[in-house]
Amino acid sequence: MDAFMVALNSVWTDSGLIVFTWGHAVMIAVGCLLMYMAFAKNFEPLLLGPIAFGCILANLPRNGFEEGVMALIGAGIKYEIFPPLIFLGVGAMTDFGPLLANPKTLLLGAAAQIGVFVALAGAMLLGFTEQQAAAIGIIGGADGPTSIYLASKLAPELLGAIAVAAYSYMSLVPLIQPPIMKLFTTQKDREIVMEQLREVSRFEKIVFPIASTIFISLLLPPITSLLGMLMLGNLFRESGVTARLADTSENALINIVTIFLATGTGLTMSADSFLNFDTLLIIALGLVAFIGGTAGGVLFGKLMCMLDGGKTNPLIGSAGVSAVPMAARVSQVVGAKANPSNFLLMHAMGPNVAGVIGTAVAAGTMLAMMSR
Amino acid sequence: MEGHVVTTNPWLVMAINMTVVFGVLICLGFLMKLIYIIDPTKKKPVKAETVVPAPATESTKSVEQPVATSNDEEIVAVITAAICAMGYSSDRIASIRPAISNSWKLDGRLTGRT
Repeated sequence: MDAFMVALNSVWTDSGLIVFTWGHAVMIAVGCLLMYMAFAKNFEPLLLGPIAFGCILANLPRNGFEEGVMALIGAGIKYEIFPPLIFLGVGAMTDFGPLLANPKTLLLGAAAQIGVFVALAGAMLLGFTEQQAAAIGIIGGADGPTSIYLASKLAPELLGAIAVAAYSYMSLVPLIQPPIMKLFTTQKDREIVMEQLREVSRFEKIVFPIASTIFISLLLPPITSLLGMLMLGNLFRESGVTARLADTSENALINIVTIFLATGTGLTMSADSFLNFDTLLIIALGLVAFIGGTAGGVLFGKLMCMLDGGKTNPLIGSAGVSAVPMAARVSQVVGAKANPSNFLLMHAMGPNVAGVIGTAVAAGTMLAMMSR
Repeated sequence: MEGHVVTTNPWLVMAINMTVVFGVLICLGFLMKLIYIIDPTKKKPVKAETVVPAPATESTKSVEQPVATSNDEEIVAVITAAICAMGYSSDRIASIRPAISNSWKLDGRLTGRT
């Protein structure tokens, strides 16, 4: 009987319950809430699901995650392994054709980055360090892997909050963007039908990823791995002779890495690093960044529309915030509501993929200016 | 850890970063134009004079009339050859013109997305 009691006592003293705090309970509740949003409300379930479960796991005391597979997943984020691998898959899924056919839409991708820098300035004014402000600002790029990449380099202590804010707002793009798009455009603007894009040759599609990688990486070396993997994935797609590699990159590989990246992000959401006022500020600044980026893109679209004699529908500017392809779909839906015969999707894909490059460039610039 | 922060003025940081982003993407735009210009596989635009019908036989006359509107001799020649290969005379071709359709929808159907 004594042996039984000793064993029972040992189990109790070694259990997580003995060190379980209210903070852990709150974070487990946050994890459950995120899971509800992911699975019941369909908000980015592929990402928020594993993030939420990782959050729950991280807040189970004495989980032994200092070693084993969880430590390995944590290292994948800490040493910036997962975001470039995600970009490999994103590249394999990306068609730069609409951008190559209409290069001026690059400017819309650049203009939408204004949200990043408005949030950056706001965060600095609110007392965050320059590095933390840069990591918070990139939420406005609506690009999860880049947000995680920059946060892990500049402000790893904020990684969980930044990732959750970025992915939450990305899933809310169809709700956040339309009111802003309508606010800055008239019915006449929204009805503009754009000319069909020219055909882009295979030569252009193959040379572009190579030339742009060399050009941007020479200019901004800190983002070489991110951009290089994006363009490598795109080369697999466009070469026409590496279909198996493209297929693996855009399906199996990206799914596996998404599981690791999202779970690992959830694992950073421990009570001591997440439950503070800064998290609320980050979520608020993320919203400012999103709104600023959308407004910047639409307003620049309006400027382009005025300059080119009404050939550009300003609605495609909002797609410059990345969030591929959701932001482009929003442009299509809002445009089709104004004019049912309008088909803006492919036109919006230009600024959309330009936004991916623009966000990576913004991240590279901030890394060059503020790296620790 | 000590950083090498260039400036702590938020507005200056914002201005510098936006300028760099615009600068890089504008250069990328020029790079795209350059790739387009040097593209050896690019289809050369057909000059307007080339579509003026030469003195022709009865059979080619009916083919060349619509060429003036489509401005693409090659396509007309290919379509005519295909029709002849099927055993029909080129005399029977009254006109060749693009079908009126929503090409985005067609593209979607062809690629199986819709």
